[in-house]
Amino acid sequence: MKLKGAGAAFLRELKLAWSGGGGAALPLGFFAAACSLTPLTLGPESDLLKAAGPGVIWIALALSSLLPMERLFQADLEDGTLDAYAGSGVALEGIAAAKTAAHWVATGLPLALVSPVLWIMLQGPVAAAPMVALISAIGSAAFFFFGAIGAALAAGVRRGGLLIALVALPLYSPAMIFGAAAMYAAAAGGDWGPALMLTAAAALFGVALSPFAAALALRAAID
Amino acid sequence: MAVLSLFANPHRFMAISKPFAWGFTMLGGGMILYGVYMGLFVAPADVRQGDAARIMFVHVPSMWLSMFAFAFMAGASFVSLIWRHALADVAAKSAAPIGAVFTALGLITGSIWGYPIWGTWWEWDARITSVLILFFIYLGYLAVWQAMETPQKAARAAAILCLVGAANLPIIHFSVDWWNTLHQPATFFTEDNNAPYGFKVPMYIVALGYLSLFGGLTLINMRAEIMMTRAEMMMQRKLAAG
Amino acid sequence: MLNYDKYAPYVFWCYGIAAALLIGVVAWSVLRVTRARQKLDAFEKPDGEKGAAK
Repeated sequence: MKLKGAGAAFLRELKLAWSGGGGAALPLGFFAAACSLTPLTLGPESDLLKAAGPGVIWIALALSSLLPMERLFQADLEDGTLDAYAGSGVALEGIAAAKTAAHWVATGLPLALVSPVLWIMLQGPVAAAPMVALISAIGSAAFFFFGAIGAALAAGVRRGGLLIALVALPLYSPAMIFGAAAMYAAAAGGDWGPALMLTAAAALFGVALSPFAAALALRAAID
Repeated sequence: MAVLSLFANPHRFMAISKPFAWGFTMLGGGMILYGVYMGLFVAPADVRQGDAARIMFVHVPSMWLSMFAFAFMAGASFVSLIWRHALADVAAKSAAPIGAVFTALGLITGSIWGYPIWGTWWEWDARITSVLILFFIYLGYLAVWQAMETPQKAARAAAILCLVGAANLPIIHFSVDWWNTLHQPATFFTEDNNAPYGFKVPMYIVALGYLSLFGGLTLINMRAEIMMTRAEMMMQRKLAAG
Repeated sequence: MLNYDKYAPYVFWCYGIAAALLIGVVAWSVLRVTRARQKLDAFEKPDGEKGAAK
């Protein structure tokens, strides 16, 4: 019963994200624009872009992942959906996990698919492009689940986007460090394994911690 | 009933905390002054870093305090979340700005120390970087208290954030260490492992002074917080009474 | 005394900033508790009966 509720929330959220007037596509646009405008500030020299590209893509991915967070729980808190969930006996932990996972599928995975394109534009080696997509997918999961903690904390705050960023960005640092290291290893054709494992560990930690912290915060926001 | 248990403890706290608040503050001030005197006048110059090493006496203890204060806040947050203890919320909230000041002090003095030793105002040293991230966590924590509509909601959100931050701190520390060794040659920032006795004593005295000051100021701010809450309640009661 | 030659400015800046920050946070705390006390007294001891028990 409880799992059923989470599954329904996941599908509902996914449907909303893809049909709701392109809300899921906005972070994609931001990600693409932020990365492809960096040569305007760094200059077009390919050596410099090669050196800075992986890091630029990674920080842009982290920031793009923050964009869907403001509305992640806020809309459901405002229209009483969360109250209904809490009242119906469905575990809020499951709801929080389902909503975050749905947003990651709707927005995080497309970000990971765009990432190799930006990688090639920033002079990254084409051979590493599939790796970049994989690293970005895992990294964005870490960003989404840690971001969801901030999203739940700020759910009751109007214009809470900046608060979410301030709360979530320090929590991003492990995934930022390991993910960027994996990206640089992929760029250099080196051994990206350990860094990718550590990125995945950071993501798993986020997946394990986030639903509980978010549910706790949402319960506080409801009553 | 709930209100009663909420305010029974703060009453007792208010009754006994005043001498401790001012006592710890003054004791801390005195110990810091004595430690600084020892550090500036008595301690010998370091063999490698010369007199620049004297910065250690204000810098290293403030980094300790930045972590201690956060650990204290996490403990108080835990108590607040599990037992809904009103005083624990007040304690965590009151400790936060003091801890943030110690963190800022550690960062600033670290930066100034870096210039004569490393030749740069900001070295991305692992330890300083993780303290910088800790400082941002402090800012987020303070921002959560500011942003919420009601103190009850703010207290719970802040407590959750504090515990999440505390759970992440070891991981952040490890990742920054890993990142630092990846990008940098080992720095010669060996502080106190084999520091001579004359070096350790002033540092410990200042550290204890900081600790005492932190305790005193936290108590003072807790008292201020409780008095303001009580005044707020009275104002509302007055408004309700017409 | 206190001849730290080339390191003197760094050492003194550090101690100066430490003093400024710590004195600042003490002053801020004292100001806060004084304000709170005044605000509370305004409610608890209205007009005249300043000597009342708290």
